[in-house]
Amino acid sequence: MHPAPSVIIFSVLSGLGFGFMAYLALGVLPLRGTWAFWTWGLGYAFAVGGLIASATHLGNPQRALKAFSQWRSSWLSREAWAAVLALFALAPIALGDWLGFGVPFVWRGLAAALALPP
Amino acid sequence: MTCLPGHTDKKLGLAIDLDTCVGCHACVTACKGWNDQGYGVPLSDQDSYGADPSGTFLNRVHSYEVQPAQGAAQIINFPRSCLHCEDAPCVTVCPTGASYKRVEDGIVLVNESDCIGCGLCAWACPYGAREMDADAGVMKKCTLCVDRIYNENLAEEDREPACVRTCPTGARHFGDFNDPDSKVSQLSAKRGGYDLMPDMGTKPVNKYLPPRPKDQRLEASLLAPLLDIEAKGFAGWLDRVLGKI
Repeated sequence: MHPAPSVIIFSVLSGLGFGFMAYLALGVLPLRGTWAFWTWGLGYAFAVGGLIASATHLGNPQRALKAFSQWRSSWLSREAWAAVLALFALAPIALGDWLGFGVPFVWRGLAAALALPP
Repeated sequence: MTCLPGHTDKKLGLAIDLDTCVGCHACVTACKGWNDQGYGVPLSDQDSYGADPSGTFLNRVHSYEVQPAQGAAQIINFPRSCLHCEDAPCVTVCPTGASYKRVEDGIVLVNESDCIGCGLCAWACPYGAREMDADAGVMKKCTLCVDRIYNENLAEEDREPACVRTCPTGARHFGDFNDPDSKVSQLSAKRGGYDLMPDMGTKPVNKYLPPRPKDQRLEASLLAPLLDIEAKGFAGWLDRVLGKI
């Protein structure tokens, strides 16, 4: 097992980013305004940066979207779905913290749960 | 779809005889020769004539020196290729649907136009049977020469995998393990063919025939009983006379 450097970057950065955002989604830190913008921005940068790194180790990255097709059998495919869904589910919470509107706690919990598998 | 079929009509595979394999690598060469020019992208080499050559192979032979509990050390030549497992972990991990196991004959194949080259199947395979082609960026693996075994343009004796066809010692056998009367099933039953790493739960189709126990070397000479013969009669007289000269 000799993982490509991009795979190591992916697992470190995405793990860090999604874990951090799951923590933020649960509202553990009292985030407001600009501070919230930069904190959430950091989480998104880690998570998305890791996902982009993961695509660079592919032999044929132009076909990467096919990786979403086998969610019935492949954990990698499910992971890809969970990552994308989590990024979308976390967005209203991030916007809410930044712009100052409330998001129901159920949604926060759901988004955090989605962010954990990737 | 990368779900495994519940059952395959045939279970095509190889019986590999570790007793007769001499480690000549003819199967490796024949495999690379055939699979370089037909099914899928060619098996590329990198730095072929340089200091650190490497390349893609679907079949490799490793040789091991084994010291049995008794007797002399033995060389075991161990050819390795895809075992076409019934419960193939490489197929279910594939995120794109490129890997699949055929319902009709159980051959595990890669649809190269769907493969993104993520390499996860090679990590999932406990036998190291899959290799990523560094040039094309797609996963390569043994196809059991699917473009030979059903190929009606070839003479009938050539419709078997290139490695089997070429083996000079007849150490490789090809057939249907689902048919208890097939040559490979019979051979495997007779010689105690075994699965590689059965604890992995992959249910490999290919079977390995263990080396036969070696003859024990005799301590005493085969001529030892003749040493005690005493000549009698005329021969005894002649022996005595000649002994005095």
